[in-house]
This record gives sequence, C-alpha cells and structure tokens, in this order.
Amino acid sequence: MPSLATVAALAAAGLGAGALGAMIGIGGGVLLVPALVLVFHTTPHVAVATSLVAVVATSTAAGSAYVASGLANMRLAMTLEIATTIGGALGGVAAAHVAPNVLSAALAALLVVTAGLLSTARDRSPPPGHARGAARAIEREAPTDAPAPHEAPREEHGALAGSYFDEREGRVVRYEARRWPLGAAVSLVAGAVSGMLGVGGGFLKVPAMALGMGVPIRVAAATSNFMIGVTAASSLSIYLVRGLVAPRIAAPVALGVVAGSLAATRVAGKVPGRALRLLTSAALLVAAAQLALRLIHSDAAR
Amino acid sequence: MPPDESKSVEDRGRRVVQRVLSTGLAVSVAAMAAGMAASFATGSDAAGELVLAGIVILAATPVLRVVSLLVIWSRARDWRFAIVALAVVAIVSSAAILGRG
Repeated sequence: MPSLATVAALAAAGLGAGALGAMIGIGGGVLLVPALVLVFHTTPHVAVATSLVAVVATSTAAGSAYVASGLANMRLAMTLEIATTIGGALGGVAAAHVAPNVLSAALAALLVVTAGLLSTARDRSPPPGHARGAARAIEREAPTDAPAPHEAPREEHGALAGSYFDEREGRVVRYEARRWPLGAAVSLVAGAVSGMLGVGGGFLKVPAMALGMGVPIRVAAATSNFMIGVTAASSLSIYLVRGLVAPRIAAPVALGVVAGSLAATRVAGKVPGRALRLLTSAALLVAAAQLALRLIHSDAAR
Repeated sequence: MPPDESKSVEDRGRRVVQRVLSTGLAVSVAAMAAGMAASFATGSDAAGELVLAGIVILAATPVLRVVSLLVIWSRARDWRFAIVALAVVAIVSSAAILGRG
C-alpha cells in the first residue's frame, strides 16, 4: 500500500492535471499518464487504467453541467457512442496484449501531437460564424418550435438535429448532423486511442463533428465531453476485469482530478490561456523525449 | 410528436441524466474517500474493497445514464434512439466479458 506521502502526492498530481486540463481545454489524461509513468514509476498499463478512472470521474462531474446547458446533443452523442464504445473496448483489449514499451512509444507520439495542437490552438470561444455554412443552409427551414432568444437549446425528437440561441450572433442556429458514417469512423478511432492511452479523444471527435458533420463547434465540444464517460467506462471495464486497476493509486488521483477541474471553473477566463498552453506543450515535449530516452535505454540494455 | 410534448420529454430526460450522474459521482467519491481514510486508519482488506467498490460504481455511472435514456426514449416512442441506447448498453456489457478473454 502506498504511504500517506505518496497518496498525497498522487492527489496533488491529480489536482494539478485536472485544474490545468480544465483551464487550457484538454482532458487531464494526457497530462496524467506521463506523470504517473515518469514521476511515480508506475507501469504504462497502471498509468492508463488510473487515467481512465480519472477521465470517467471528470466527465461525470462535468456531465451534469453539459446536460444543464442543453448544448450537448444526447441523441447525437448516443449514436456516436456505438462507435466510441466499440473502439474503447478494442483499444482496452489491444493495450492489455501489447508490451509496455509499445504503449510508451504510442504515448510519446500522442504527447508530440497534443503539444503541436496546443501550441497552435487559439482561444476556446468560437469565432462568430463558425460552422455557419452548415447552420445557415438549413436556417430557413427552422421549425416554429425552435428556441426563442435566451431560451434553453433543444434537440429534435427522432432526429440528429437541434437548435440553440447564439448570443454572439444574436440569432437562433438550427443544425442537423450530416455524414454520420464519417463521424462514426473517427469516433471508432478516438475510442481506440482512449482505451489504449487513457485519454478522452476529444481532439479527434470535435473536429470530426464540427468540420465533417456540420455541427456547430459549441455543440460539438459539449457533445464530445458528454460522450467521454461512456467511452472510458467501456475500456475501464476491461482493465478492471484484468486486474490492471490499482485502486489505491487510482482513487487519490481521481479525487484530485475532480477537485482540480471543479476549482478551475472558478478561475476560468482569468488565467493567461496562451502562455499556459505554450508551457504545457513544452512540458509534454519534454515528457515525450524522456519516454523516448527510456525506450532507447531499455532497448540498449537487452 | 407535438412540440410541447417533445420539449417535456427532453426536459425530463435532462433532469434524470443530471440526477443519475451527480448521484453516481457522489456515492463513488464518498466510497473512495471513506475507503482511503479507513485504509490508513485500520489497514484492513475491507477498506481496500470499499475503494474498489467506489471505482466500480464510478465506471457504472455513465452506463446507468445510457440506461436512463433508453427508458425515457422508449416511453416517448423514440424507437430509433431507444435501439441505439440499447446497442450501447450491449456493447459496454460485452466489453467486460470480452476483457476476461
């Protein structure tokens, strides 16, 4: 059993990852997995399982807020969850069969990609008119039951469609998701990456929904976050039955992540987002380099 | 379905999902925290089991959210999405069985 000091350090790592992840708009998993492997010297499998517990916890904590906002489209989420849960299960099974070094190499590659995305990202609030083409094309046929200004957003019975009032544009935006096979294909990959590496996979799903399916970016981001819990639960169940979850490591990390992400919502908008993103992407590159060095050393030692 | 009825189904669905998520999270966090505290106080195996139970409850919470929507959409005769929800429950349940292999 870990000492009290180790448990406190694990909770602090979770707190930091949860807070930083929420402030710069990424899931805590991509920060947690390298921290657990490099600082706490867990195996990559235990790190991924721990991160999945934290991902389910944050997604569940944030889920209520996304549901309350009405922006998450639950029918669209459920449809894509068929693909993400299959991907999550396949990713979990694959991860259980691959060697720790292969998992570390895949993690290093993911860290480099995330660092690149973070350093080129702009502020999270969408530019006016984003995904406007798709929304405007069907705006004329907006139903009479579309929400009035400042009324809660809605989704439509029996369809992958909905509407919300966009304060920045001052109008009701009605959307209808198109090309769902494309969204499902990307969601399958996102689920597999999530199950193998313990991350949420939003960096794949949000662009697929916004650019590929014509869903407004705000709805895409809320729907993706709403989906993460079920996807991670699908792969977490595999780690659980295989005994790869270390409860006394996972619990303090999960408790820390939930506290950190909830605390971060209080300071959102008051932190220098650009500087934080650049610092985080630098830290991710250092972690990727450390993982690569460990792989080279372990190969040389054979 | 008339717009008013559709809106009421959606509002009910959102309320139920919110309640399921917040209750599941609260119970799992309480179990994990109590289990961790008991681990240090007593070092018993039962405390470790409580921590694990908290993690299992946490993993089950998003699945319960899917089951809730399955019931709500079935009652509203939104069959297309009720079947989609049923498929998700079946996939997540079989993932655990697949994992044993």
